Amino acid sequence: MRRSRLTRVGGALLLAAMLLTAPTVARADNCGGLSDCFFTIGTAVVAALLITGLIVLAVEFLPALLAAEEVGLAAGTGAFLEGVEGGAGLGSLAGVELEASAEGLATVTEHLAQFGEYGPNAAMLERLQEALSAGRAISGADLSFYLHELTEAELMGQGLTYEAAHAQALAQYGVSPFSVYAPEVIQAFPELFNANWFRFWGLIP
Amino acid sequence: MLTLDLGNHRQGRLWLDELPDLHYPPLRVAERTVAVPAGGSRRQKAAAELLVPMGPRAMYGLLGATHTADGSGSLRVQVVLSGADGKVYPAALAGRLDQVRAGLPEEYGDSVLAGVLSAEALARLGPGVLRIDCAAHGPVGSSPWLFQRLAGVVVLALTAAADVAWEEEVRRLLT
Repeated sequence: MRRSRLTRVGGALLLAAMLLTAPTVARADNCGGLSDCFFTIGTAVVAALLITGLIVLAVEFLPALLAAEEVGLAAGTGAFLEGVEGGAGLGSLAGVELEASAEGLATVTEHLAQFGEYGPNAAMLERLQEALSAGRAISGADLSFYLHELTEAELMGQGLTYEAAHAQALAQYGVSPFSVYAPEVIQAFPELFNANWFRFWGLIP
Repeated sequence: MLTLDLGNHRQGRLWLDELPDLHYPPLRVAERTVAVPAGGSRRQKAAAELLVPMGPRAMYGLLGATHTADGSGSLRVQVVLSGADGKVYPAALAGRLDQVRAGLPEEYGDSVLAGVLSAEALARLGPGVLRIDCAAHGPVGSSPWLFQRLAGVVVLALTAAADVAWEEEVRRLLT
């Protein structure tokens, strides 16, 4: 969905560039002298460069803008907690679907082993394994959990502390810290989660 | 204050005969009275703080208590509960993993009571009043489970000898 919106916006910007530069280039065909020609062609080149720059900027920043827009539509739209690392809702992962890989899942499983046994982690890994076996794309909490742990594993592998890697992994996707466990998992282990987690997923008012 | 390395990235701190400055305005007090054998705590005050990283989140909590002995033959456990918006505790072990605040939100009251009453060291505490009015919680990392474990650690800290293997004991209580 996002890709098609990106294409539409990119296309609109390209069309705008053509419309703006076309008259200038057309005038260059009828220029009176060599210096006039250079001036009008130069103007056209500068305008085209400027507009190309705008297109590049739009393509660069549009995903973030669209993600921010989609946060309001995603399930789990808990407000950002000031002072806590992370963002709001599902951040840049809102509306995104991705297929987990066997290699990625093995990395996540190995990474989590260092923290000891933890029911919610085992439950999330089981969900990912099920999706992988069924060839099903993951989204929402499953995607947030998967990418968070992959990023955290990579950063800790580079020598970052758990605290730094965890914070950076949350910030990378702009996700809420409450987005990393699925509501079904939170409900299955109520003693391990406080009311904020239930509230984030709309499980309690 | 003792600093504990509990393995698996887990950290803890213990305050023995002292409490961190984490008092908070009470909202209500949950109370339970149980019969206990004669005895006496080794120390009047103790607090415990735990940070238990699990990957996607790190569990966090801090709990402290004061035991005032008397000859009543029973132990009155008072858990002072608060709202969730106490003063920020920037020195918390959670660092920037959570926004830790002083206080013990009501949702943890039953867990703390259950943790005290099921603590294996409770019988050694002796009659009197055990008042739990020092606490800190994180909106992300705190849970009823962790506060129940913390209550057990605090009772242990009030009753154990100073030379106990704290890291081993706390690790055992966390399983």
